[in-house]
Amino acid sequence: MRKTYSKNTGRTIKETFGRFAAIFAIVALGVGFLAGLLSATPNMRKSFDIHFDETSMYDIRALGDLGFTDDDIESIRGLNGVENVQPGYLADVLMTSEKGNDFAARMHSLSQDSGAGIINRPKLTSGRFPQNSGECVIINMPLSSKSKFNMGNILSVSENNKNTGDVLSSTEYTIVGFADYSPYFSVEKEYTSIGSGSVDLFLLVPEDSFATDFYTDVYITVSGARELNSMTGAYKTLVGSIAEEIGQISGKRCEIRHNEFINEAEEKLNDAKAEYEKAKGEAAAELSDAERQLADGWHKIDDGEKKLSDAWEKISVSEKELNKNEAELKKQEISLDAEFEKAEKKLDEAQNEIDKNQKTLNKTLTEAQNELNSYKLSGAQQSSFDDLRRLVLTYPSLAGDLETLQNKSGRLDKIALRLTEISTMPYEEQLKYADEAAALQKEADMLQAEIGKIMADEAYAAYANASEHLAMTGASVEKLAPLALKLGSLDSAKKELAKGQTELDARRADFLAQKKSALAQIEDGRRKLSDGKLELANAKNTYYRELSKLNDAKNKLYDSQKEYEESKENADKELADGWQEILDSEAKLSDISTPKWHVFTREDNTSYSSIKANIDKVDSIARVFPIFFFLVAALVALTTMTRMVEDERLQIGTMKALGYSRSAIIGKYVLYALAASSLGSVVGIAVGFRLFPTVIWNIYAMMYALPEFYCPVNWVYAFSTAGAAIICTLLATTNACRSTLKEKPAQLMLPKAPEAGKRVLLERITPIWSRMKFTHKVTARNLFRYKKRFFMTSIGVAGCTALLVTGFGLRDSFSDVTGRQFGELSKYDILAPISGEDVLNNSDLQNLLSDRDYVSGSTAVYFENVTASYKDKSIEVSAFVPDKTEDLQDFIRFRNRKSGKSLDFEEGSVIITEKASEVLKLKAGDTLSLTDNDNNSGNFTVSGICENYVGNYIYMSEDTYASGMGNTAERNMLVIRLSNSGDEEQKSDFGKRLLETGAVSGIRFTSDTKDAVSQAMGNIDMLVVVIIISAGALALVVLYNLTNINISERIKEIATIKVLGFTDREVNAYINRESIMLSVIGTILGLALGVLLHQYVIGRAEMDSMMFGRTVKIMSFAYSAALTMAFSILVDLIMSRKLKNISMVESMKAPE
Amino acid sequence: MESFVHFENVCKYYKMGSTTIAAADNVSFDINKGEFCIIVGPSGAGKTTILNMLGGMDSCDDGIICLDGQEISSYSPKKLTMYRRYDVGFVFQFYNLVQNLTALENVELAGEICRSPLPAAETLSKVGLAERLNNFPAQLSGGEQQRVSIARALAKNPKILLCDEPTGALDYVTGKQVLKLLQDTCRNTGRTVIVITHNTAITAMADRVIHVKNGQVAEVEVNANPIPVERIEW
Repeated sequence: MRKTYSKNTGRTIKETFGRFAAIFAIVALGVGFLAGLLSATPNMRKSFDIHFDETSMYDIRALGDLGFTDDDIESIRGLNGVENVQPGYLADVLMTSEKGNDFAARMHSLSQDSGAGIINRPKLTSGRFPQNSGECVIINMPLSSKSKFNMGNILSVSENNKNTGDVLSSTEYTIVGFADYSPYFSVEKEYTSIGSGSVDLFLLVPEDSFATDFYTDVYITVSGARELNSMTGAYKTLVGSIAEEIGQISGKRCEIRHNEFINEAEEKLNDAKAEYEKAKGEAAAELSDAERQLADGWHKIDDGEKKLSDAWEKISVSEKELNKNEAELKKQEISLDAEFEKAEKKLDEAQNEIDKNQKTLNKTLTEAQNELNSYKLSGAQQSSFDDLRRLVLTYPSLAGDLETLQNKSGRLDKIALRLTEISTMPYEEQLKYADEAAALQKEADMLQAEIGKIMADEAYAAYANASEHLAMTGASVEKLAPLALKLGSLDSAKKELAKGQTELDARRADFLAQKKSALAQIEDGRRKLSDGKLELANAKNTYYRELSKLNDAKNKLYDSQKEYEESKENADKELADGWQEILDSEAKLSDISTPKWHVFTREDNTSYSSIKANIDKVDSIARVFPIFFFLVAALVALTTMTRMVEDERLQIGTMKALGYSRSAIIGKYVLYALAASSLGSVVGIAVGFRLFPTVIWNIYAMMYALPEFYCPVNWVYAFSTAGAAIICTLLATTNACRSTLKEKPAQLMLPKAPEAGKRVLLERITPIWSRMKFTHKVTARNLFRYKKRFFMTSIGVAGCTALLVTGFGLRDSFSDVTGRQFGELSKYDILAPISGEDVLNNSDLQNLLSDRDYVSGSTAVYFENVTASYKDKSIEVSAFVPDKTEDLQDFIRFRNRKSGKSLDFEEGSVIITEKASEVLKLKAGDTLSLTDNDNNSGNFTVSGICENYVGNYIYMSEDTYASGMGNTAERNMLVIRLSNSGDEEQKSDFGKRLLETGAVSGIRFTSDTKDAVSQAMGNIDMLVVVIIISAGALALVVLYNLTNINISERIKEIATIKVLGFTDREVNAYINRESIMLSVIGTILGLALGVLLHQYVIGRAEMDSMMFGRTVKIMSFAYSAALTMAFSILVDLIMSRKLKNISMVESMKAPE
Repeated sequence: MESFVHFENVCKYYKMGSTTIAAADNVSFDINKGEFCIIVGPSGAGKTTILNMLGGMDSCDDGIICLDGQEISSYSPKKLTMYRRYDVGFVFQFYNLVQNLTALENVELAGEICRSPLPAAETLSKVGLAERLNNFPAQLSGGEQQRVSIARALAKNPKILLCDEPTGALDYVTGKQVLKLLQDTCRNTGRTVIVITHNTAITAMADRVIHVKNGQVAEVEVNANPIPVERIEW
């Protein structure tokens, strides 16, 4: 009996293999998915915990404003509950690679094992640990380091560093290895105040690479923390309590450290002051010396100049004189020349006169000679003539007398003539001329007298003698006497002429001598002049030489002067700087409030908190989603079994009639269900526990340096999910069996009364019904008649669609975060904290901010984290307080998400971000209170709620803030919008320059936040893909199963219509129309359900600090619907084969 | 006159593991047009196989099957579908009505796919169900359901009416009424009707009786004077 019984069960499985397989697959999917996703996050947490424990990652880390001393370390070590304390060094420095690229590097010291084990033990992945101070190990980070650097590369400390000279002992570091280091394993940026604001590279270097005399940070492990999973609350509580204790002792330690530091600093300051004074004195002495030297120099120059000017005066006087002399000489020369000429001319004239006289004389002489010669005088005559001549000559007056005589004789002759004439004339006539004749007679008498007188003279006598001699010659003496006179006067003239010639010659010689002496005098003057000139030229040359010498000396002196002035200025500046430094240090020293220890736990570690948040996010989705998934699967498995039992009522009846006990009968189906569901569970667990956690884990490999994945089967989840699945199906099975078994065997063996055909609602709407095609009517009636089938199918399909909608919707929500937050709402690129408002006057900063190549706009705001409370709720928000409200409009878009309208951000407006308003459960118009860290608080009435996804903010103007809080809002944050925010190179360049101004203490790039968020979102996106694939698989299996059941329940009907002559296509249409209609209805339901599920999952997944998109996009509905319908059609295609293979002989069979 | 239905050496084999069973073994017979023919034989003799082959629901492995001069044994599955659609009316033992359709609609379901269907309501009145047109099968008795089934077959206006144990699930009186309806249909419309039964008692009402045994035709009996079914008692 047992044998046949089990054979029967086995055969049932074989016969209904499709159904068995479907239950198996659905259970496997449901269990695998649920168990896999549920165990994913615990496994992830565990893996990290194991990794942290293995590497002894710190539980607590402390940073000191003034570092730590050995005493500090010992006092921490002395605390109860502290397991190990490891002091170390840390420095952020700019480093330059061999290629010349600059990196912001964070250097950590590599601690030596002091026996208690090393905290944060690095795990070498290649190479070796550094041994010398010039060696380093690079910490492996996801997406970076190894690709950039190779073993043996040298990194040098950049010259652009400001204050690292005294921190590091080496300036070059050779890469000797690569290691994993548990405090850093995420791609998320670590902020720093150097470079472009975030750390590019993490290095481990030996301790002796640091030259500071105090520790910069301390790592602490807590006793008993290792045993706890570090991502649990118990761990947090334990570590938190120790951290608090450390915080408590910090006050005292810091006081000590402070005094120590102040004393040390004051001592140093005093030294510096003394040094300053000394340097000041020295500089002053040196300067005054130089000054004196300079004064001497100037003095000398002045002397030289004076001498030179004297010399020049002399030169110019003598030059003037010389010139005067020269002019005079010239004048003299000219007048001399004129004189000479005049004299010469006179001489020549005289000569000419003489020459002319000579000539005339000679001519007259010759004429006289010739006249004489014409007389042909005999010797005696000649001698008489000569006597005459002599006479004439001896008596020069004789000639005159003669002449007078001649003239008188001439006259006498004439008178005689006239008288004769008159006497010869008639008387009367005579009478008339009697007077005249009387006068003439008288005259003739007188003349006779006079002639007589002359004739009386001896000379005349001689003459008369001579004349007598001569008269014999034929020539009258009258004629010869003038000739002799003439000749005599000629001779005397000749003599006189010769005398004149001699005289002239003497004059000429005199003139020549005179001229010569004058010329010699002039020549002398000239020579003297040229001598004077030469002398002058020499004097000038000397003068010029001296002048240039003087100028050289002067220039030199000027240089010296300048040098002196410069060095004086330098010295002054240096001294002033030194003094300022001293003053600054003094001020700083007085400013140095008691230092603080900053105590951090792992929660404050960027990588740790990032992965933790990510795991929490996965958690929130992994808890809701697969449960729904599982519910759908369970529902389908459950109904499948129910219907199977109902289908087999005849057999149940038969067995009951044969006398099988209830339990035996139920047993068969329980066995069937158990076999299917437990096999499914086993496979689901086996696959799901590995597959889903590993897939999710690996999603994060992009973003984190992941440790080895610890992925055991979580038996609690395994048993609970498998148990739930199995129990669900078994309960459904036994329940169905029980209700079936309630009937009498006879009833059971009769064919189950076919369910009565019913008129459906649609039939009452005659206009539609009467127009419907006949086969459509059948479909409509079928749909509504088999309610169980209808609900089961449509709910199953709806579930899958809802899962798909949720999956796609999650993607939408996540993409909204980055897309809307950083694409539409936050328009600023940089937030940079500044130490105070006065920094805004920094000219470098102002220049940089007004450089339109870089910056398109900037403003400064007051930024503070405050606690916002409304009724009993409270949340941390960041207050964003601009000077003027319009300042912020360019950097943040204020709009309400629900209404889509822009919010006016005006004076008096208080706008809060949406997520914060949700957490606080307040709406516009409500009044919330804000409390800042100094416990100032105030009430503000919210005027608007703006869309925002990342972080929580409250915006209001400075005046509003100040009047509400009662204290001023001093600007402490720069908000900058770049011109080319997409240009990475320019952006990091700008960041570098911004930090170099020294005005900002750090830089937060919006793009970094965006990258971090979008990376996190990208990871979730991958998770969503897994969900979508799983939902798709579920949809496929569910649809297949449901269609399969539908068909197998109607085999006879199908065979019948085939016999009636329906073609394959018509048969397909007859059946598929129904399943398509069911799918459509299910899909529509599913879309609605999906919205709810999406809303729910999003609600669970959101954290206080982040809002996700709340709406599912139209396309996601379209995708989900299309996918479901595609699966439905795919299933129908598969089923059409099955339909084709249904034998018409089935129609002959008796109803079961 | 050529026979309306012609079976010639028709064989049909079923493979059961290693053995081959001949469900029809060289079956040959002829039926004339307008005849009321009963194929009779014990269970498993091969009657249903013959009916399936004739009804185009199954194909033969050997031999020739002709209906009205058409060799349906050579038909492709598609052609066979058309054959079933237009030429054959089938009456099932268990009526095989579509539960979800009223009597009228069940008839219309068949008529819808035919070229020249008879008016459904009229056909139903003819089988005496004028009052039950809008009742669902579940609201009808077995006999009434079988009448709907017959009406459904008739409404297709087929060349031949094939009935597989039409009275198998009915009580005596109702069965008799159904048989009478079939006989009347044959006589009144001249339609060839073939009925399969294991009840030899009713063979007297047929024009032709084909005895089948072990897949073979044991005897073909032509009844010159068939008795109206009312007069047959069993």
